[in-house]
Amino acid sequence: MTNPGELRGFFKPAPGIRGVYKPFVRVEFTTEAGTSREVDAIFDTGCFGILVELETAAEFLMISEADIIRSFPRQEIRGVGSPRQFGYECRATLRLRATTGSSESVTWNDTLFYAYKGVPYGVLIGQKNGLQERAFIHLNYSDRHGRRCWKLHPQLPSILSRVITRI
Amino acid sequence: MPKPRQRSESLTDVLLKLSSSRTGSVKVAPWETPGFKQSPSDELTEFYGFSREAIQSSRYIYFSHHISTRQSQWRQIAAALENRFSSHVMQALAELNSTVERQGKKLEQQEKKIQSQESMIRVLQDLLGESDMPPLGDFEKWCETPEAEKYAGRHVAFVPGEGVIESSESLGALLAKVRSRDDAVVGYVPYD
Repeated sequence: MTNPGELRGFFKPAPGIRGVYKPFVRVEFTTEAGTSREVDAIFDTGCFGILVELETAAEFLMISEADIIRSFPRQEIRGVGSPRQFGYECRATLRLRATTGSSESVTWNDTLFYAYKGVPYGVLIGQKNGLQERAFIHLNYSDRHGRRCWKLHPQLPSILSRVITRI
Repeated sequence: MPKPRQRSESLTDVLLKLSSSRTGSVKVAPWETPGFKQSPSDELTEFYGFSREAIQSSRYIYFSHHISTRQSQWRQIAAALENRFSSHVMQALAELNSTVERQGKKLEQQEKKIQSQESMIRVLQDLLGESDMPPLGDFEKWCETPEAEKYAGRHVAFVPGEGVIESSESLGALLAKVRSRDDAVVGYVPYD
């Protein structure tokens, strides 16, 4: 049994690059339009924010890509290359769980995500409104099948957050 | 009558004495003489035993001799220190070094022991069904079968008991294709 708000999951081979493992999580987006289908997402600690491929975001929001471009505020996405890249700010409640068989989940209410054309994979969970102020831990063990494990804490350990605040 | 105060021996004096005891003569290096200039001179010629022309024609010889003579001075200093310090200091240093090495090995062994104990606990937890890791669902179990290999690197719509009903390289395109199938699990099939 894990602590409340804490999530444990597995690393899987990453899409595109053989031999590279990434932490995968199942995620579901709930917006005013309804609840999306649950899909696989990758925790990307270096990514600017929660990025959702424009086509996928259109499916989640149940509107067309053109409607997203027309109706949501445009925002610069930093750290994804030059020239300057822009995404569209959307909000949703995210429900995360580790596997399709897991009964435990965590919910991130009113979370900002960006619908962005160039996401190399469907959904990336990065820093802003995502891993920011949360602790992502690479657990230094694997289960008996050799799967490497990760753990997500709902907040930074208090001593660490004090240090970060001071910085 | 008070004795005249004797000048205390400097390290240079000791070194020069040491040098003369080995070579039989005291030779003062030109840079220790007053008015020494960093250029080939008659004093240098005399000291090194090279002709003035030879030194002037090759800066390399000049500098290499300059450096090697200085290095030999350092060797002499080291020798002098070795003689001055008794062997028990060196022995103590060696003992300290071996103690540090022994402690390091001990820590390494302890760390390995802890790691093996932790992995043992994980295996036991897994076997007893008390693992704190989440259980795998039908989709993850299917991903570990040979059938999943042909979909590696693709997003699939999987229905338990039925198998893969759609697959695509783009997640958005796949979601559009399976809008009507609420029972399908959408997931990514990793390479392995």
